[in-house]
Amino acid sequence: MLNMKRRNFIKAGGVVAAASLAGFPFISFGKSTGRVVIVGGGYGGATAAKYLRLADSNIEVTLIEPKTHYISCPMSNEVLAGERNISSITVSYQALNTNYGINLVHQMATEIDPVQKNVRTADGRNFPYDRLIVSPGVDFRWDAIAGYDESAVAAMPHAWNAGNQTLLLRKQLVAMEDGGLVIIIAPPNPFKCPPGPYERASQIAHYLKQHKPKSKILILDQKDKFSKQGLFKQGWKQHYAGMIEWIPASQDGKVLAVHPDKMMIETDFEEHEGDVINVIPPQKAGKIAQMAGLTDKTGWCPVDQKTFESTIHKDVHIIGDASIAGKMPKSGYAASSQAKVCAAAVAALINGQTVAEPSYVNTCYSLITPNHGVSVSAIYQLNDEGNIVSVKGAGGLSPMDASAWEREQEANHAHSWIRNILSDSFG
Amino acid sequence: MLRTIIFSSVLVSFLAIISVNATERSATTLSYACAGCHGTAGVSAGTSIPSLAGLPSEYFIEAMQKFKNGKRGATIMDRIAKAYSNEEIVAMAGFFEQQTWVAASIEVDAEVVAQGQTIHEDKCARCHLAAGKYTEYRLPRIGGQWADYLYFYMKNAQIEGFKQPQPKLMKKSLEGLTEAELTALAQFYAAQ
Repeated sequence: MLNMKRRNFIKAGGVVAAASLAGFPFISFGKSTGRVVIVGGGYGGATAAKYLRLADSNIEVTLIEPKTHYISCPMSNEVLAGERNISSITVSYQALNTNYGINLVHQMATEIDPVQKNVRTADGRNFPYDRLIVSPGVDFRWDAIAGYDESAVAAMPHAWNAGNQTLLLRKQLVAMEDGGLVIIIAPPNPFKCPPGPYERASQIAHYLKQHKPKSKILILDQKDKFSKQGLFKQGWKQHYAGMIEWIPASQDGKVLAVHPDKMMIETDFEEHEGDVINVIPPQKAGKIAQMAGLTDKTGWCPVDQKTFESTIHKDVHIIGDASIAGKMPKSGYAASSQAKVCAAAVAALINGQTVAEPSYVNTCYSLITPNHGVSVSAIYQLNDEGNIVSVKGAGGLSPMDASAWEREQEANHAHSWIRNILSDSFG
Repeated sequence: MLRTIIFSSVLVSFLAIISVNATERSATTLSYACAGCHGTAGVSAGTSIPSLAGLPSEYFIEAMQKFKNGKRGATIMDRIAKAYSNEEIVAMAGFFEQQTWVAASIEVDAEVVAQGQTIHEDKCARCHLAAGKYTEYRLPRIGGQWADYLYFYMKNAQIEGFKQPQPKLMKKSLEGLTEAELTALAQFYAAQ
């Protein structure tokens, strides 16, 4: 089955593109009903652009995103393991223009003026809007860990935005000698991709087990529990016994300072020297959201959770990691689900219609080995107080103690999921 | 087709009456949220996740109800289905039924496909007409569905105690088929 799957990949992309073309012809002859500008082309921004045009093809949609290709964070841990080429999680934005008529502006948005309702880009152009959707992702709190500033990422990569940082961390792992120590600093809540650091430890362990079996991984955690903890610990025991050590904050996991020059980490009682050190810093809403005054004292963006409109600035919506979205985690799936809800709301508001009752989903797979997948899922609704809450009695984690066959199916679903989320958001 | 429409509308009104907790979430709103895993408009790009586009609503409703009530085993759909009311399931069934089916495009081994065709003709063709492309009422289209999904479904059906309600004839047909034979069948259908 495996060989067939690999071969299917390229042709499958073609199917979806064709389906999109056949299913949604986006030649609009009507008059423009409104201008929506979207800042940020991750899962949130790209999905919002596409689904806005699905909702109303008379709305002019402009997506402002400096990069011409998006590299997915989900599944980038497989790149670290050498199980996947980064090109397999890299997609062009072009289909959003070709299939849906979205205007693409590959520039950095440098200024949002919520009063004049205008976005300015680095090349000095202005983009006035009727409504703005901001999907800026996260920014790192560079002042949070002593010694970890922007110049430290060359020695101690964060690899928490996929791309060169991912490749750098991979290179360091490949260069490390057998018997080396990999240290991962896991961030405090809330942060992007809650199970990510632990999937990363799993994927690195998978690589080390095959190529450098005497090596070890140490996770210094800035909190005392983590997402899918039971499932990860069970998987580690099963596949990587003695290889991964997790130290919670309360047991001296808390990091006081890092020293990139000495490849050393200081905690209250210890100094840990590592051969490869991955620092995942504490996080806050993306820079443009801070600059535009869309954040509150938590560093994140408060929104009306039905429409994702900012509670600070009118006609500006914030989706994805940067928003405070009730009980939803900061994940790619959550961002894309919020984007659909937001797109429907924006289309309704522009057309003077009632905003529909929303439905949100998050499904998140983690791979402990290439054949051992686990998941968590939740379906969300709006409660009477206007907060996003999960539907009781539904969703939840993969069962503990499941068979190898069940884990293998979930691993396959994880690999299928990445193809679907990428094509649903960007294709 | 007529039977389908009558059945659906009877079911819709029946469920509307028994439900006390009707939400106003539209079929589109509910169904869009599925696309992250099942593909835009239910056209899946992932080999183990089935396409939902064009599925008969009866099949969709029955499958979701069984996931929801714990009568059909799954890795994840049993957890997800529990979140939806009966009428929400009906609404999503209507949405996906209206979407256009797009067959999975996969490269296959002609020899394996031929082997699959022999097994199909021997054991499956009585119900799964037109090389599995026939679909109506409670019978899902499998011709052009993703091979891994079909393989997983059939393999699970062979597992003692796995909850996968299906016609007796199908259970019997799948008995004793080897993994290689299941793979051949899956490839044969996916290639349609």
